[in-house]
Amino acid sequence: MKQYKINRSKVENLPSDEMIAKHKSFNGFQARYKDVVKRNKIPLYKNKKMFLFLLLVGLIAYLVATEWGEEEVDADGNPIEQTDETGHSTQGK
Amino acid sequence: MEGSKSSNRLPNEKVLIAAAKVNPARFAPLYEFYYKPIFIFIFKKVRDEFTAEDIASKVFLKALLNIKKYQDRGWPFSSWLYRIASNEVNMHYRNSKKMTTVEIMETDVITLMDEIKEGNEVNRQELVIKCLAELPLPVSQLIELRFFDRMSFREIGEVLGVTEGNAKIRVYRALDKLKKVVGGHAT
Repeated sequence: MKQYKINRSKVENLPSDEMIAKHKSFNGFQARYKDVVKRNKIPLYKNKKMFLFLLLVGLIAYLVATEWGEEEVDADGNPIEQTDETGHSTQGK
Repeated sequence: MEGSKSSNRLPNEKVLIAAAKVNPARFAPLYEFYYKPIFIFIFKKVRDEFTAEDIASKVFLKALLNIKKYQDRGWPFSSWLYRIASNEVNMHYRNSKKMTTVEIMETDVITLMDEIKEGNEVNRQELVIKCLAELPLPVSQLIELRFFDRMSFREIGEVLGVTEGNAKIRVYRALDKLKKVVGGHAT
């Protein structure tokens, strides 16, 4: 909401240099900036790049886990015994 | 009406902006140089030093928070600050429950009256500024920038992020709207 008022004097009411200097403080401004930046730090999952990275890591972890847990089975559904190059069973080692 | 609001550039401005993008502490020279003109620009629209201080602080904070997005399109950095300041002042008008009185110089009103060919009687001046307050904020803002902030069309274009020609068209459309509202009140 605003309204206008005509200043009919020849002198414009402007703030003095002292008044402006009183309000100008880069240190105060910097402190406010740091406060805002700290307060509004975006959570990792809300960062687009970080979200994709975390998704990729999760996917790889899932694939590795499922691959690790799978047992090879023969045509009858019995687990195939893992053997080393000497022909000995590796199961139970 | 060729003012020099935004044409007053800080030497090595591009270097300083690039430095501030990397390290916010390097924003200091830009803050120190532009604080006064931005404070005055806001003060003229709110007429209260503490409100002006609060809005100026928001303007510089927004500028620093978004400085990485700032792109140099050949316009001075100040035009970007004036744009943020204009938006913040408009937001203040919208959110404030108190009526804000904008003081304007009689000489500026006379220039506006001449432009819309409304004569210079005191009653007429009062009617015109009453009608100006009834216009939507983006429209009255154009008239303020041109006649009360005494900006050139080029500077208005820089503040609004449009070309000089487009700024001129917008200002004349705003004047037409003002004339219509004044005409409506006169009949």
